[in-house]
Amino acid sequence: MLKVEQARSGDPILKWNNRLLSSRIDPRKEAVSFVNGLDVHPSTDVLLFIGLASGYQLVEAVKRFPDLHIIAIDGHGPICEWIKKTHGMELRHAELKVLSQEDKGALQHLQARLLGVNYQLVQIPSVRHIFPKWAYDLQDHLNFRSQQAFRFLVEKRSWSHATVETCQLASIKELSEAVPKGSGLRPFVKILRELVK
Amino acid sequence: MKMLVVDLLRLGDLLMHRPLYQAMKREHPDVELHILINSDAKVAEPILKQWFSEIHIFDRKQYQNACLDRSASLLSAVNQLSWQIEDLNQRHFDYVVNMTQNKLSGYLTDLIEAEEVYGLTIDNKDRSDFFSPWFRYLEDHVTLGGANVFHYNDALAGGLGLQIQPEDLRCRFDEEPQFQDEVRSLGLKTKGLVVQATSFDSRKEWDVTSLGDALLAFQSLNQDSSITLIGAPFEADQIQSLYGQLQARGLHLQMALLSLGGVTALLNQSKCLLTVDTSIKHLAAGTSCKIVELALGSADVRKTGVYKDHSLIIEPKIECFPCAHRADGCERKTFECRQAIPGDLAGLALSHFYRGTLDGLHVLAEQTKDECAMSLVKTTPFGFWRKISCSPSDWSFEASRLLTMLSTQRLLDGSHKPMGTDVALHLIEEVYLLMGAMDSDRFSKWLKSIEADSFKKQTTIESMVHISRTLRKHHNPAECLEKMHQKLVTEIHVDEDPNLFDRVRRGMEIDWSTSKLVDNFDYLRQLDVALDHSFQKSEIQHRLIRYAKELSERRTR
Repeated sequence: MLKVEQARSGDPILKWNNRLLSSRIDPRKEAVSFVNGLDVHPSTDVLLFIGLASGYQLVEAVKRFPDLHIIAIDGHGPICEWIKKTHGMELRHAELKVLSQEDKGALQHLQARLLGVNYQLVQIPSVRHIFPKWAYDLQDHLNFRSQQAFRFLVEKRSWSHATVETCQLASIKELSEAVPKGSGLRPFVKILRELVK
Repeated sequence: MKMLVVDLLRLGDLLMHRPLYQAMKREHPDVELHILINSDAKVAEPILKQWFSEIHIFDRKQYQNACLDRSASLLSAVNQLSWQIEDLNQRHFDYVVNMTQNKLSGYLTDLIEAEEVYGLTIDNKDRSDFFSPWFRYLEDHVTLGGANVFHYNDALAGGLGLQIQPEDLRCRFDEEPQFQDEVRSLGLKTKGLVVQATSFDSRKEWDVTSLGDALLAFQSLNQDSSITLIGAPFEADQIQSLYGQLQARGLHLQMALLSLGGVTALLNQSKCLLTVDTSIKHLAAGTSCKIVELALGSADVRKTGVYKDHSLIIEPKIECFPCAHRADGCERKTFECRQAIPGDLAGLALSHFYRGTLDGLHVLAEQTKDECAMSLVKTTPFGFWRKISCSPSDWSFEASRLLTMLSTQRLLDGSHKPMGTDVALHLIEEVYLLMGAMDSDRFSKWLKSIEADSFKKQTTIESMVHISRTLRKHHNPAECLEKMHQKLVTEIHVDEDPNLFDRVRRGMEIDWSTSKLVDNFDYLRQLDVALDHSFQKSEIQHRLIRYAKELSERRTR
């Protein structure tokens, strides 16, 4: 399933089920252009890459944002291993993790680390196209827009009266409907709901 | 002592509240003032610094993005908001004042810990508290409209127990040399007319043809006066295009793109400002410049008109004016309000006002009273804002309106017992002024007619209170409310008591065939409060008239 090929620039790139994860012409140039397009908010502490592609975007981000902590997660162990081996030195300041969708424990552990931290999610387009379900589900989860993530949030913050039976939490409206009267979370959600009216 | 003012409105509203901040500072010199403003109004920071030791920013856009953008974290919005509130609470405020009066600010104010709270708060169980009848009034009356509502500044001052003094209106912002230099560097000819034609809300803008007509009429009558078109630097393209179109009509204009400080400096060197409803209007209220406000679209002068004595307000007389603040575009598609004010007539009025020929203005207002309304602003001697029609045939109506506002003010202040002679004396003097001459016969006639009206109104309210009492025992509440509605529409004008009209109408919307009285206890309580207020107000009005009558008779003798 996983193959290594060579781009025209001479750099090695990955192919997953016959689909290239990076540019076949010049993956480094592609990475520079991707990182140039990132709109990193000044208050961000952590950049969280969902998916690694062939690792070039991550290498460029490490170079460009030396003050940020960078965490990169991928659903496939062999991809992670290959990137560590290929870009090892260039990625020494980044934290690479394998995180499959089924590993709920690891996901919750990551979420606990992210509570109270200003983090920004980064998704490489090829990852979003080749592994859409994994990428979007993980994104929703890390953005606390899934039921399971919300349940976790309620638990961590002791908003003991909140219930989440019917909500998918795609929006603040749904979050607001999910939080019953009297919950400590409610005033904040109400303010946010007024803001987006 | 520390006080936090929650003022999450637009820039214009913040500048309109200037006299309130000044009055707060004057009346509480030992209190450290803080303010929470929207990120959009950040540009006002240099102005706000004169009153507030710390300016806190509520980053509305950041929160909105986090809520609406699927790729952003919902938690980050919740987190950041809770951090901001925690940060504010760490300042340990003694007082918190909500000057915004909307749901968002109500929830937010409730989360701020303070010894004393003024203004709307909404708690976790959605119970609202207003802390003063004035803030309640803002909710019950001002939002409903009506001709006799108090200006926002007056209602807020009433709620905060502040008295706005004439010196509170002055803006000391332009005294910094950089702003004077900003104007000087443009080499403008000053002491003339300044025109602010653009607004954040395009519905409030006049069409270029009418504006051109008005300025041409003004220019032909005041050939030595300069006309300067102003705008903010970010409006450069819009102002440049407008400048080109007006120049093509043969107008001799200057153009200036200035900061808020620069505009204040220019206005202090100018004779008059012609403006639509915008922040510059409120800024100008603190300068020596005369102001002509052209109210169009959603500009509701009753609530947010220019807060400066002797300013001229021109409004269209069409049914849909002012339109709802939140509506997008014009509901009639054709912006009829723009067409309702003929450019040449407005130019003529502007010229009369500019030269101080008020007699001419009165004649013009009388002639054009079917198309548009021209009024002059007055804040003395009662301490609240009024616009008085320039058309002499409206003055008897103005006197009655003054009486209604006076009785409301005294009801809300709780100061109607015992009645002071000063108010009655001021009232007599004011009515004499409005009548144009010290004609005691005319005055007595007016008093008699107004007394009869007031008596009629009091009787109506009394009978409504009676109906309301039987409503609980009645088998058919819908029929009772229908009766009340009939009485209201035939005997009281909606502007007299919009709140009572609203309460009765709401009652008529309830399906009484399926719901029980006990289910609508909250509604019945609100109806009782509205009736009680109307009754008290009519009593105060009645007493005020009697007192004015006695004094007037003593004077005549």
